[in-house]
Amino acid sequence: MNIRAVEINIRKKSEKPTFEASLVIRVLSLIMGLVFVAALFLLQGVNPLILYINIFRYAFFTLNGLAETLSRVIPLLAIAVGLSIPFRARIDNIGAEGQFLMGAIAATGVAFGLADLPSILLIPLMFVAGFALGALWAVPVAIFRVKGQYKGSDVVVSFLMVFPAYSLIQYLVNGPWRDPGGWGFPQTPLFPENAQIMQVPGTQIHLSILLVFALTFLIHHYLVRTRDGIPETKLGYEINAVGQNPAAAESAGVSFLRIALTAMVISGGMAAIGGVGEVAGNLLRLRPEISTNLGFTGIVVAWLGGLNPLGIIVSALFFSGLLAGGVEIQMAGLPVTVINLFNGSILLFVLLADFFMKYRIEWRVLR
Amino acid sequence: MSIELVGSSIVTAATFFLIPTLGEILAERSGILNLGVEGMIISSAAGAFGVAFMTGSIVLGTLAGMAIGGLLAFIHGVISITFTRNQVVSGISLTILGTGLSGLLGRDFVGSIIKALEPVPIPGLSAIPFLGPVFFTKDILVYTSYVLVPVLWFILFRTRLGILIRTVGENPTAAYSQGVNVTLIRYLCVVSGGVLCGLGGAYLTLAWMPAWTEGMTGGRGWIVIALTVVALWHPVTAFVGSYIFGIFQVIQFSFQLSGIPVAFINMLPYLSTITFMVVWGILLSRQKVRRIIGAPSALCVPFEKE
Amino acid sequence: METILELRNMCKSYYGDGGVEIRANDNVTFTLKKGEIHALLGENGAGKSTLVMSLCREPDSGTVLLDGKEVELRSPRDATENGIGIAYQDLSRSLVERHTIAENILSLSKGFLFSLRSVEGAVKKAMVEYGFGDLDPSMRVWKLSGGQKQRVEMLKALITNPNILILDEPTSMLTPPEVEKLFSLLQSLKDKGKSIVIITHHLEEAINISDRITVLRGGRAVATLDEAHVSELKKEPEKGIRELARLMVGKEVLYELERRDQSEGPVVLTVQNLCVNNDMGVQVVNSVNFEVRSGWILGIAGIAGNGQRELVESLVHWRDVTSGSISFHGTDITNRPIKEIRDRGVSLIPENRQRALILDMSVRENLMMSYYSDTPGLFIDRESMIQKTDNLIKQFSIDTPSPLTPVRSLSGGNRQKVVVAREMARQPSKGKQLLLIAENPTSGLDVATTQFVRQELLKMRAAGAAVILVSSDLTEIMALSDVIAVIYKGEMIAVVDSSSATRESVGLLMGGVVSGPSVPEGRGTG
Repeated sequence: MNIRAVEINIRKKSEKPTFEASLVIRVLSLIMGLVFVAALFLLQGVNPLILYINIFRYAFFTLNGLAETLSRVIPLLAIAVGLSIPFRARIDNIGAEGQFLMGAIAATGVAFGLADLPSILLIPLMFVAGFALGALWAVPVAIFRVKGQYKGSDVVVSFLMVFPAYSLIQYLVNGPWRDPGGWGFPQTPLFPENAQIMQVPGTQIHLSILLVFALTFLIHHYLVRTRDGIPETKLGYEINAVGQNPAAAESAGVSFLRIALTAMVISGGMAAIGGVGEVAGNLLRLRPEISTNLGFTGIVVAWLGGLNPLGIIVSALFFSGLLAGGVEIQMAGLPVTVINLFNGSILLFVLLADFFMKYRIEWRVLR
Repeated sequence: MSIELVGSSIVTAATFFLIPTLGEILAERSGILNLGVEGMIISSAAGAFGVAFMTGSIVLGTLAGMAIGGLLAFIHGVISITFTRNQVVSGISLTILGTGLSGLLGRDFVGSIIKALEPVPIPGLSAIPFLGPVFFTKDILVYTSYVLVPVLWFILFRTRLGILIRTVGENPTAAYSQGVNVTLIRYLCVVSGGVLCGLGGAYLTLAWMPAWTEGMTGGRGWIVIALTVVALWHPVTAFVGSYIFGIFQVIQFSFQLSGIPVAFINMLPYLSTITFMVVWGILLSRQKVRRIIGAPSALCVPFEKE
Repeated sequence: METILELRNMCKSYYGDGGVEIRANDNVTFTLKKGEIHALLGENGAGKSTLVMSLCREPDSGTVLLDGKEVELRSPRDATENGIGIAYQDLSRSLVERHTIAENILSLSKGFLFSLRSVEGAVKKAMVEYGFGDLDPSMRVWKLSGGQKQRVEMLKALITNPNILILDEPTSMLTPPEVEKLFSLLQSLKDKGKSIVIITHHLEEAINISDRITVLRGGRAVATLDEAHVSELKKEPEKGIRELARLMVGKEVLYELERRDQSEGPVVLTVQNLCVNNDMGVQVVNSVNFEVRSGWILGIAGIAGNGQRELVESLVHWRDVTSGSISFHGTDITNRPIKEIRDRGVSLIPENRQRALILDMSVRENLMMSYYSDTPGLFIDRESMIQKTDNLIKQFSIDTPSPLTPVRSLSGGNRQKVVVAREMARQPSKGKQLLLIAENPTSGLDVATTQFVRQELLKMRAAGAAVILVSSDLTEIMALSDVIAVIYKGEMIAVVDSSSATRESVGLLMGGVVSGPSVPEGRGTG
């Protein structure tokens, strides 16, 4: 047998991948990501297998861990579902962290500023204010995406807006909002009773979990789900069109600016709702530590979930487990930011998986 | 504070922006948008510091930093060039990965101290009043940045490689049909860009602030990406732009003594970057401008042979 | 004369059509003799460009022989190294607009350094040698006219001093005198011993210049006319054109389209003093005036690149109008939002099919694009959409396994049917007629679909719609239009009644020849 060469042919597929196929590929990219990080850990002298088992065991099989996991789901799901919308429109919002923080700031402001209102009014007001401020923080990203003359301007701007948000929190908790009885720690006083969101007793799972899940299902039903190939709302249809072929959508009369703004308002608002819940239901006071890379993690959660709210629920659960297991990561001597290793590598493999879903590789041996 | 000291700090700050910006210009000129700059810089910074601390050699540390930057850029290249996937998402993934990697690589070295890169006065030039102490009494990486600017200019505009790079970035099909190996050129530029990012990261922890803390870059890698646009993809304007941002950085420090809260001062570089982007966006939207300068036409567009 | 190049049993297929294989080249054999000029003829989509591309990439099967020896040409570089120079048809993929002419010719910068001066010098020398001396090598390509760009493209191929020169549609943007100059250049190259393949669908030119002619149809080589046969054709070109057309299309009567006489309707669209710029800020539509009546087909004839695309885009506001006005049913629609113009009753079948369809969406979703916003409110009226799209699929005979199949899986002809269906079936408000703009609607389509689209255009005309047909296919214009406007370098240089126009007269106009007794009186330009 005289093998001259192996010829590799890469052909673009014409059929959309089946649901089963895309599920398998997503799980594969998840596993590859874990393997990749495990290799990195090994190189650094950390035993990945034990670490993974500990994280998994803690997050899903201990009561404390499970509660922690579920409490992490709340902001993560809010952010990721929110992100799925601009991502579908090919708008890359990576500043969800900033929008999340603005939500927390708004909630704090309302909580202390209108502390006399009864709970039934105060808490919804906090959510509304949070949504508004988060949406506002997200609008520049839309503007840059549409009017920006160079690729990536939306990405850069969205990230750049995270830092002012963070700095604002620093300023507020060290300055005008500082807790007078807090021994100088940079934090606000504890939220007034009527501004606190009720928690499931004994855990840190607060009732905003209901709000977040409700929004998730609403978004799925009205923007994503199709019956007979047709989405429920015009907006859902337009977002898909704009994301897949902005030139064709524009030619049909869809205003890119309108869609971009709508998508970013929803995204920023959702992230902010996560922030409101976090500060009013979990931490019960505003601290700089409220920012925990949720913005970045949300990006991976959204992509891994296939930009579909239902899929995102599943991937959010997984990543929440990972976040909850953060304590195990710290015990292994690693800084918490290491979670970004998982985020980054899984996202890379999801990207790669996208290639294998779209292209078929044929190979034959020549001669 | 003497004006010479201020000037010197500006040069220090500017160099940190300049080196990676030159790298990004190279990558983008060939058509690849590398948004992983922040991740490459910060992980190189951590890695360089770690290696320098462990081996006691700044040279090895610098090389380690460059290698890390190059490696991450290579991954970006594989995903963007060979697998023709979305360059924006790939770059974002690498930033995220790089941030995590920096935590991993630097974890044992938080709080450690090394001997920083020493400034080396250039004989003769360092004696010039004002210019001497400011520009010519710096460390070797700063001098490297001075040299890199004309070298990059020369490569891009006076060599055959440069015209090939620029053609690949404007119209890769045109280059390919004339026999150019588009893939090779793109890989070359992206990886070189990553190496320069790594050099910038090494500069941060080995020369500028010889220490390692998490999040040291403070997101300034993103400013590099904006700077590439502000520089209109040209090495000489990159120099000017980096120095403007160097000035902003130093102003930041001096403002801390005034009454304005620290937090607002910290917002300055980000807000000013956004302002620049708005102004430049308006400028570049004019047709008459775009036909002469602007982003390389094939930037961020994957090249498929058929 | 010996054979210098032989392409034997070339096969190349494209997939991506739901498993359907499109055989772009089906066992094609083509030979080129040394020192001859060989024309490769065929309709759009017949496989001419594909055949030639087999010289710079691997086909599915077949052999390439150069001077009798088998060679493997896997990339454009291999082709150049083997003495083959190719001037491509699609200049947007071949030239860098921002760079100068000299910077575009990469083969000249040898060695490590790139000295603009020496490259420009070499370019200038080559230009003089090949008769392109009027171009300045330091000029930016975006400033050049279509014909000048084509000459740069040819220079790129010539400068490598190839033995075999392949020109893909080299005259598509040239005026008749420029075509003459090109042909004398080709003659002198032939005298120097070069072998030339010229791909074209201009039958007269092919007869004029070539020694032998090969006709491709539907991916197959249907005939190769030898030297004797071609010299016969040269003696009687009119008869020759008919014979070649028959070979190209496959049947004697090309168009059985019936364009019945009908009375003029009221003016529906008025365009006055319209000026539009191209992407580089150069004005390419210069103060154009015309009107369109309902029940009319206004055919805008012109060689590609004379401003038609920008004109069409300005009518629907895909591009800004710099000055002038467009008025539709009495309302000014100049630079109004795209959606508003569409809602008022303007439909467009664009030449750029990328802008018309979203390939990964289903047939149903693509058809919906014109109708989804008909019902007010936030929700889509599913029932009505399903009904409408099912009807359209039936009405326009769109061949698709199901309405939910992604459009990507459809063949080119069926994809265009989706666009046609979507744009033609729209109903503007009561009492108002639809304005349909069709931009090269049949380019690249198979014969059956081409016929279908043309018949649909006539149906729209009969129903009272106003139609603007922009086409570089003169036969199509002649067969379908009531009034023919000729666009040349951004100006409407003539507007003539189609009944009094001849192929020859319009052809001359398209080439910019305005004066002369063969130009008939036109209807007013308004």
